[in-house]
Amino acid sequence: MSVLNLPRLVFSGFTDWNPNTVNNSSTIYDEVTAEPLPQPGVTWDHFVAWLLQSNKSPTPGGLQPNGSWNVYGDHGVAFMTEAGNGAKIAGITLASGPASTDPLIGGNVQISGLSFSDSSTPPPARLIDLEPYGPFSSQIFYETVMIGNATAGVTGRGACRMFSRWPNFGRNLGNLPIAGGMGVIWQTAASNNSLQWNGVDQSPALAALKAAATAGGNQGIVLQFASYRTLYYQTVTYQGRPIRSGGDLIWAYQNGYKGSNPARSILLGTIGVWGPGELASAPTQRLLAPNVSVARSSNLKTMVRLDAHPEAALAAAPTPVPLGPAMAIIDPSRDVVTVDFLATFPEQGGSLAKANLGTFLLQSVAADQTVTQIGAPLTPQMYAQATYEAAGGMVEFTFPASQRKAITSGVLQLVQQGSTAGAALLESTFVVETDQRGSYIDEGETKSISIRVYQNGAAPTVAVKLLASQYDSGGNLVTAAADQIVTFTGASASGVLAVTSGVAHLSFRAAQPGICYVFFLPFTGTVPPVAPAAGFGSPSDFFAVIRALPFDNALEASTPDSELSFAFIYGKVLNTYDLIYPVMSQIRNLHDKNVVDAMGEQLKFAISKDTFASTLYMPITRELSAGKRKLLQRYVNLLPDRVPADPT
Amino acid sequence: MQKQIAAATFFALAAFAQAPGLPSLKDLQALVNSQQESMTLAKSDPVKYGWDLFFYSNWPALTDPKHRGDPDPAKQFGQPGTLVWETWKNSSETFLPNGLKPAGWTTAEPVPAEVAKVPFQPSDSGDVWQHLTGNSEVDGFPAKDSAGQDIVYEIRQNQSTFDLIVKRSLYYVQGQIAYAKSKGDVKFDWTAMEVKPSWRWLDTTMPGCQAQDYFTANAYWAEKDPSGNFVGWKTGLVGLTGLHILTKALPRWVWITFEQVNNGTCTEVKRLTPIPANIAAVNTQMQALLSATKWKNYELVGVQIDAGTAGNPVVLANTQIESAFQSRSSCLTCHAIASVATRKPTKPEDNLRMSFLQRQPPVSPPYYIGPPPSLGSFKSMDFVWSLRRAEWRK
Repeated sequence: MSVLNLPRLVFSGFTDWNPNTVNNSSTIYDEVTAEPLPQPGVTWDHFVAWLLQSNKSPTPGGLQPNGSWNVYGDHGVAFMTEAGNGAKIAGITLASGPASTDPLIGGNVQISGLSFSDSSTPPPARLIDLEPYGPFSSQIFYETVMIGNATAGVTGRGACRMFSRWPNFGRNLGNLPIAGGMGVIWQTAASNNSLQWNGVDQSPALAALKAAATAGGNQGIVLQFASYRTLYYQTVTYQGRPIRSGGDLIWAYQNGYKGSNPARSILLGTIGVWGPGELASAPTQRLLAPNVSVARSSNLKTMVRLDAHPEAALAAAPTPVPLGPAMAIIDPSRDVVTVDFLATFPEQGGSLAKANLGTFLLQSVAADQTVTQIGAPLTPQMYAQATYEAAGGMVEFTFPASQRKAITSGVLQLVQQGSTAGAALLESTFVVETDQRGSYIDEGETKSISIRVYQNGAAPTVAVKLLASQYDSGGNLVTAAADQIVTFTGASASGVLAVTSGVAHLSFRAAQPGICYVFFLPFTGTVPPVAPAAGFGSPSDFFAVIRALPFDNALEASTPDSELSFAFIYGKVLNTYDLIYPVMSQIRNLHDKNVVDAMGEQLKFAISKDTFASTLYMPITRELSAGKRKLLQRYVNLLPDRVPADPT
Repeated sequence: MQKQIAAATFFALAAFAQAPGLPSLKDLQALVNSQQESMTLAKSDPVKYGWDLFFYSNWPALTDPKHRGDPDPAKQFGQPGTLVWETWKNSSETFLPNGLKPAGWTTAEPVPAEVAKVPFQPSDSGDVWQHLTGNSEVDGFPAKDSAGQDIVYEIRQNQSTFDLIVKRSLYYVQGQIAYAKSKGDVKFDWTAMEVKPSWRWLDTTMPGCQAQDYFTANAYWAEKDPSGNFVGWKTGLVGLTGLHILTKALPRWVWITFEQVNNGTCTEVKRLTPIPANIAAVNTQMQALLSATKWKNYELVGVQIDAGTAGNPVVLANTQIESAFQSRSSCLTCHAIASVATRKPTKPEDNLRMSFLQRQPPVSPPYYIGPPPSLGSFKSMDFVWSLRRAEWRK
């Protein structure tokens, strides 16, 4: 089971992203030391004011505050529609067919976090980039997923945080600013033991979802959604003036605005059953990975009749267009191949209209290269915006029973009709993913993550191993030991990871503070493949990302209690959260000892490692090192009366 | 409904030596001096018990230090004058800097010389100073009034509570640790009481939300700069916005809380859960009896005598004292966590006291409600969180 199976609930809306953008800049924030960087001629007392000032870019498109487009972002994430809070369930498909009148249609879908205070609306989930500078390590920390309402709905605890998957810079073919053209998918799940079902008798769809989720070895429910066509400067009006550009935002900041400026992505997703053996945070069915770019003709009229004259159309000044990955499942009981094209076909021109890339054929290729076409050709109408949004990107390809054996035993591929360049999408024999995609590790600490390996959507039937290779933030293979952020240890010291019962383990310790990506290459036989010199070659690359937090153990060890004044703790620990994340001091004024002391109990709770996975953890950006954590803990332990006076 | 009728009947029929319908001091003293009567009433009619304790603790007091804590039998309820609880020991008298031993019960409450020079403003409390010792709630956040000023707090303990703290050497941290290590859990006598009033600064030049509707007092507050350095005393007239009254009439104490009726408009905090109808009905009757006094502007919010169950926890919040976590405020549950370790913590992550913040399962806001959690290796301080105010003896 998975979102590819029935029942499926399609939901749609927007995702509003409210990250702080100051830490995105390597000239303002040092992601190795997790500290602000001094700016020429700017005192620390005027640092936040400087963040709000114009960067004086000579080009209108580049004009924005020094701290970029959201200095007061709080990292909140919320599903929205134009009408307000929550994405909406737009369609339901049960085993018996569409359920267009089910009470769950139009129901809310939302994820939420936790808060230290009562809140009239659920506290938001949080978007945290493990690597602040880069685009490949986004995470959503959240607590609860809510579908429907108390009358008919289900809520549950997230099984683990979400990670952006399948990052695709070519998702939108238009020239959208910042990361507007990028698309990613997210997946999350909630286990049966956390699910609370309400009013199952009120909704046949809910009843079907519950029955399927709790049947057999199924684990619960799973949500998968895509984020794409992100627009900035969309939602804020200040003093009657819509904030629609960097120039507007500079004006607002200079006139006292201290609010957020979220970006807004399109959201489209599917809710289904979390099947046995599936990961919570990553799709693990049969992966159709991008293979060769498809041709997009400059002659759109010709493209429209691609079916009839594909060669002619493709010959008309084509430009290469990469497709995003897809995930497929073969249901031999229904003789159907269901393909999830949620992240596959790009939109054009900054709009939501799909680019017309002609007709595609889903095929199964046997070992002897015999090709079996599966179902009807995938015409542009079948992946056009309306069809795509209505079905959440799902397309079913029905085949005759006579082809069942050939299709189930072959390698799946998607080819552009008329193209001789090769398959646009080609099934990857293996899928290598982990629910521990993002790791934070401290100086002196050793960690281990589990990596799951799937072969054609199931447990491996062949002996397979993984080659783990370390890459820097720029995607360059790290070849020198001195450049390694982490050192592989134990049984994984060589970088070759054994896979047992579909699971591999990577152990590592921090070699130096910084961020690295570990790519996994599956291989059979005894000779590992050669790791490519560059990573991030495909949206469906298999990798994990690790942030080795600053090495502050020596600072902690060399600081006696007699030096733990407020001035010390602010200057060494708290100032990052005061200066880089100005929204923090709107909530709690970190440069005021009286305020910090008053929340000593909460502070110690919030920075505790055992709350790390919670949305109550502080700092929510999770760059507090072990050494600085200890300093803060020791400072709180000295309260109320043993904190030394500030040096004079 | 049964309870509300019973309470109304009691106040309507009882004969008193003062304003008709109000309990006599004699009856109130009989109540607070009888463990059996206190236990019985607290359990059988907590609403009436709550109001009776309100009358007792807010009774005008004898102001001679030799009579700290004694009500003035010559006065009637509602007459101007220092209240009984205002003569109890301020936590600043009990928990001294450097953990020094506090002066005896009958020692007059010290007032800083700079404050003593400040002329008193006319107040209901008379010519005494209230030493305010807090401007944030247990969640670390301040509550604000409608003028944007912090709500401010003090804690006072009656003689029973104070004497046991002194007797057991619980007025400094090492003393608490030593007691926990050698004796285990602290047990206060059944006569122990404590109050936590909340106040707002009043501006007598401004209309609305001002002195006419509040019980007022002269107060002082230590102002500090952002580095935590003392910069001077703020003095002024304050109005009582809320009052926690805690008694150990029951083993897990009785948790009574009152508020000024205009808090919804005169402070920035809104009540999330309305006062239960049975209590509101009694409040209406009491306010009618108190119509000639400023106490007509106060209402009982609730009385907690148990924690409830995990599935149906009892919550009780004063908007002035538990402003931002009303949905997960359980006096009894939180105070059951009042504790201390049996040795000085040695690791940075260790705690001197068990945290009142719930880790598992994660909840929002992160405070325990329902049956109290296990204290583990910590020793109970018998629900008295004010023992956190003790300092280390250096």
